[in-house]
Amino acid sequence: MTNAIVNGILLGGLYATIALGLSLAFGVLGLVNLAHGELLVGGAFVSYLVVDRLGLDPLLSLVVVIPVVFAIAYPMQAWVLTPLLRRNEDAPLVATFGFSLLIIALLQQGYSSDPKSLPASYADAGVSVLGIDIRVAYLIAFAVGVVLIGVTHRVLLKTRLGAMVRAAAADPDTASAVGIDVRRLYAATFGVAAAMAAVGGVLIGITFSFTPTSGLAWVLTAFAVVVLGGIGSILGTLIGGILLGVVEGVGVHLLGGEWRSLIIYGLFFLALTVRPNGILGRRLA
Amino acid sequence: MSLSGHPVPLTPSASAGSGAIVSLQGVTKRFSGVVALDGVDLAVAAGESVGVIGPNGAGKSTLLKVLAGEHRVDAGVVSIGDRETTGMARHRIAALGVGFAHQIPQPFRGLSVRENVRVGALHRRGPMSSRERVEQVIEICGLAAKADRAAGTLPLLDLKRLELARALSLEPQLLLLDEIAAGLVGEELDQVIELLLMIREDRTLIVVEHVERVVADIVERVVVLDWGKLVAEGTPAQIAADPHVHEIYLGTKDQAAGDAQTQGPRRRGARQGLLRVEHASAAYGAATVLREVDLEVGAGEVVAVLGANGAGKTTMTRLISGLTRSSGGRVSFDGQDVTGLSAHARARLGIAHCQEGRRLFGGLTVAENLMLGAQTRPAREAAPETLAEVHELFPILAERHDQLAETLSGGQQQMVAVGRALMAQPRLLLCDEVSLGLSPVATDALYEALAKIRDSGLSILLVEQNVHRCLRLADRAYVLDRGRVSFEGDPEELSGEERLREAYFGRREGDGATPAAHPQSELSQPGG
Amino acid sequence: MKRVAMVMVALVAGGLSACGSSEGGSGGGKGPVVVGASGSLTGPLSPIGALLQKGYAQRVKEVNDAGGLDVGGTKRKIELKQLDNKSEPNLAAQQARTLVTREEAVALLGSNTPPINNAIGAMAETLRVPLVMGLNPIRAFLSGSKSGWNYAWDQFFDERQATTVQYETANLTQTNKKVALFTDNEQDGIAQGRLWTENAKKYGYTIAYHAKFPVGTTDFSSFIRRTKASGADIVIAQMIPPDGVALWKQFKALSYSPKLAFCEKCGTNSGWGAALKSSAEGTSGLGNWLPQPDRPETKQVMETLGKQIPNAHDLGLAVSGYTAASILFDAIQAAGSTEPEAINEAIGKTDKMYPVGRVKFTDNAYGVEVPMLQWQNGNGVQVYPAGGDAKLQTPVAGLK
Repeated sequence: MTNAIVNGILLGGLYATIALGLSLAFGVLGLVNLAHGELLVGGAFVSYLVVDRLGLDPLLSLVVVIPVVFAIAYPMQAWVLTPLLRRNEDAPLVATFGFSLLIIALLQQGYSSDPKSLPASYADAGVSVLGIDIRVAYLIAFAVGVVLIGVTHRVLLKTRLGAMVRAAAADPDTASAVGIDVRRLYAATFGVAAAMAAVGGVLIGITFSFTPTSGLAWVLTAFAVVVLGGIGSILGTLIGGILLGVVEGVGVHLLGGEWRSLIIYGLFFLALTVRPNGILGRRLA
Repeated sequence: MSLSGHPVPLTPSASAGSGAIVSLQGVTKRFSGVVALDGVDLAVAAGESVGVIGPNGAGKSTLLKVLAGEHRVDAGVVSIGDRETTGMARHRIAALGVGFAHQIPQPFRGLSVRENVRVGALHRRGPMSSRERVEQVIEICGLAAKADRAAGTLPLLDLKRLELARALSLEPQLLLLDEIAAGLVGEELDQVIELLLMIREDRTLIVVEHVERVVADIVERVVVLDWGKLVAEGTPAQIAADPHVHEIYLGTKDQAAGDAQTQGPRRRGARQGLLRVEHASAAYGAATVLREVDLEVGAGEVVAVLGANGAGKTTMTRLISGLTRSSGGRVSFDGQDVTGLSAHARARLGIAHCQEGRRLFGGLTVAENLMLGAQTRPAREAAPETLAEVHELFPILAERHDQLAETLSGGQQQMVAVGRALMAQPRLLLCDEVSLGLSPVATDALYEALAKIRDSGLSILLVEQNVHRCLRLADRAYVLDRGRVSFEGDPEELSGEERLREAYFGRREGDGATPAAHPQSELSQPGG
Repeated sequence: MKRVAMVMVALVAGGLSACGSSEGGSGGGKGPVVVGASGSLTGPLSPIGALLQKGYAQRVKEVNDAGGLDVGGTKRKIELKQLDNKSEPNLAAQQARTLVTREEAVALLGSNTPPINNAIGAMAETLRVPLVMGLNPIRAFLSGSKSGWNYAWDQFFDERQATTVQYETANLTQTNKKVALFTDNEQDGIAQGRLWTENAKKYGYTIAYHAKFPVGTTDFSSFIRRTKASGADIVIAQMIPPDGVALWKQFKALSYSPKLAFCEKCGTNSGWGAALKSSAEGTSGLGNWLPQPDRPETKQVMETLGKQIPNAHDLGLAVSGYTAASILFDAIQAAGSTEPEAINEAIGKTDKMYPVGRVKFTDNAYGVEVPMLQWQNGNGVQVYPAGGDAKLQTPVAGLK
């Protein structure tokens, strides 16, 4: 049981990382990004390419992955999503679904559906702490998740840039009237959210495996986390992730593995019913 | 709820006495610190038609929403018929026979007209089958030919008819109409008035309306709300002639006289055109709001823009700041054509816009709100000094530095909005209804500050309800009437008030007892 | 929450959305004989679909190079019309209909996995057009039709036999005879999990722990802890490749080193080695084809497909396709007609040596004998039946 809880907490850190970008995009842009899973898998593939060609360590490959994914995502928002948002609130959602299909098609063109995995010495290493076996990869993922969320939270709350983002999220019209270039800020936010997804993708590549179509399963997990933690709430993402990880771990421990999906989606719908605004409510940051 | 079906005869309330079908006693409603209704007492008799008028933010819509159960009151008792409805849920009040036509029609856009009306009728049982009732209501409202069209494709007049039809499908004994005529012109207005006269026959009506003619033609009694209080009552003609009511709309001269000491001498002639608007037009969807307007603001000049609700004043400011794109014409600032520039680019050039309703970032602190005003590099570098100046102008903001903006009172929020605009070190300050909804004390403080700002050399464009105050400060004034400039010149020329009265209350004929047709042509602004 | 609801709808719709593409063409007459195949060319099953296609293409090429099929005295070329079913059964069935009704295919070749193949099979029954397939384990095939198959024909391994090979292989070495089963909740996972449990007793093994989980499971920590606690020397897993890769990584990280580890369906194509690199070493998995080195059919296939496809697992998949195509084309020639009924009758009479053995159908199915392959030096080598040049290695090298 202790094992299951500890493992669930660590896994929750990974879940939180995966959900962070989704939460940010929703909180700031009001965008339900259906391409989140594909951006995540896309990040893993970019890393795969870098690791394969340059022989870099997957974590080190983030130096390349983050700017590349940012550069891919930025124009999506600037040229497609923001112009659509002005016309119809729901149009961007459909557009992100289009992106998702497009990215899958591109990945399938470039790679087979054979599972890929990012090789690293720590990917299949483990340590034993107080009799609990822990995967090193989980520890890394948890640490990355906590740091990423901590930094995001702090930037949003304590910096001028963060205030601009929150302002543009709350009232884009007024934000532009005080001189904020909302279109650029939105694009940058989407780029950052996509880069966060890519970080999650790299962690998944190290920890588990991925194929061009893995995105769907992960975006569902991310939705569950976001709904649990509160849509748009950054700290809530961490709490939601850990809660999901622990409930899943303990649930599987007690009920058996075949209940896993039911546990996750059950929790998801329970959260939607009981606390539709999430544990921490729905305000940004 | 009556299970026996319809019609539910709304029997007069015993408590309100004298056959009142609607009674409000000491009703108070607050919104985060702002008092929207302040101890309102009102009784409406069965079959009576009552108009509610008052300036923007007086609490008119709130009054209707309280009656319909869309808002819960903070104090007081509301009764409809012989039932106390204080705190009763909306659908239960509707079931008592209360219909509500909203200011901004929100039908199910994808459904046909008939389906929209049927959705309303589903909730009622009656002697008539709901199908018959639906057809009858559609017929009455003049929508028979369009019954199968999708609601989303209807023009404004038909949307208003549909909104009425939806309210009527409930077969209400009491009908609440919120600015049903706003945005209609000419013949359209005639048609709606005719429709309302017909509907009035066997119902009790409470009408919130800016369009003077509707009030004059439809209602028997007018009550005037100001600042959440019921301040005057009478026949439409009495009210139209009531000087006190004029004061409510235009501000008092006495009040304005007090400002004189804070005002320096007017600087005429300093008209190097800082801002120039030429033949500018603007439209929201199909409705044209501004038609080929010319306007100019000189360096260091204070310009007032006046006009009735829906005349296009707010759109004017949005057109200048770039929040609304012009559909024709040209805007230039400091000699540069800015027509094609987006709002943030114009802000960076030095156009600061205090929007109507303050538009603070409520979840951010006062300090964050203010600092966000400084977006350009020079403004950011000078931010500490500018902030000190803003704090000097509005000392209270220094105390409230770390408080969330949404927790401030209305007056303080307005100070933050002006302060935020100043943080940009602008050259032109656009003020849209900055005193709207503020207490007299807060208004005084704000105008004092505006005078100081003017003295520092900043150009100001003032859009105001509070005419006299505004004119005291202004070097020049424009009057907008249905999207056109109807007057431009010395504010003193307006002190005779005749032009103003025309713009606000319509042109009078003869003894002034019968207001002439003076339909408003524009959509009133949201929140107006 | 309206948005969230919309998202769910969109995701579900996305999962279902699919559209096929088809090229114009006509069969019949004196032109080429049109044969149709709906293949998993994209989607999760595309690695397998691509190999199957290679097998078909090889046989088509051979026949056409030799001048075509002799159909009732006329030499006619074969035209294989391929559509991409994106690894989706519904789409595959739709495409089968398109191929027959619009493209005028006189017969069909199969796809991969039971859900897709049985869906195509049901359509073939409806259309009364013969369908020859491989890559559909025959118990799953047979249970796919309540009333029995008439037009669909299958040659692949029999799960009952296939679930004994692991034990036969384990008998080659010394273990504590305790087995941990890992099966996902797909139909074949459930069915074979049951068969392994039944067979364990017969072979003197015990199932010390049985992990059951849904497809898409990523975190296996608690299963692995229990596996370790059970003391099992042998792991038999049946799961999709991405899940298998994740499981193997976690075996290693949580230091579970079994003597033998079978990863059926997952460790059975070249993607396994590519994804896991050195950790793949020592994983065992059923091959799809047991080559009989002395037979001419085997030598011929080795010369052609064997040269294109170095990996033994992958080669077996292609050979299954090659065999299916061979059976169908032989039947068309034997029927001397492109009438579906005639072809179907001829398929039923098949009794001939193919690379997979002497094919003769019983209840429309033929059970192919398959070997156990183990990953050694990056390729699958035959360790059972013993007698090849490779020997079973224990413990599992990649999990040490």
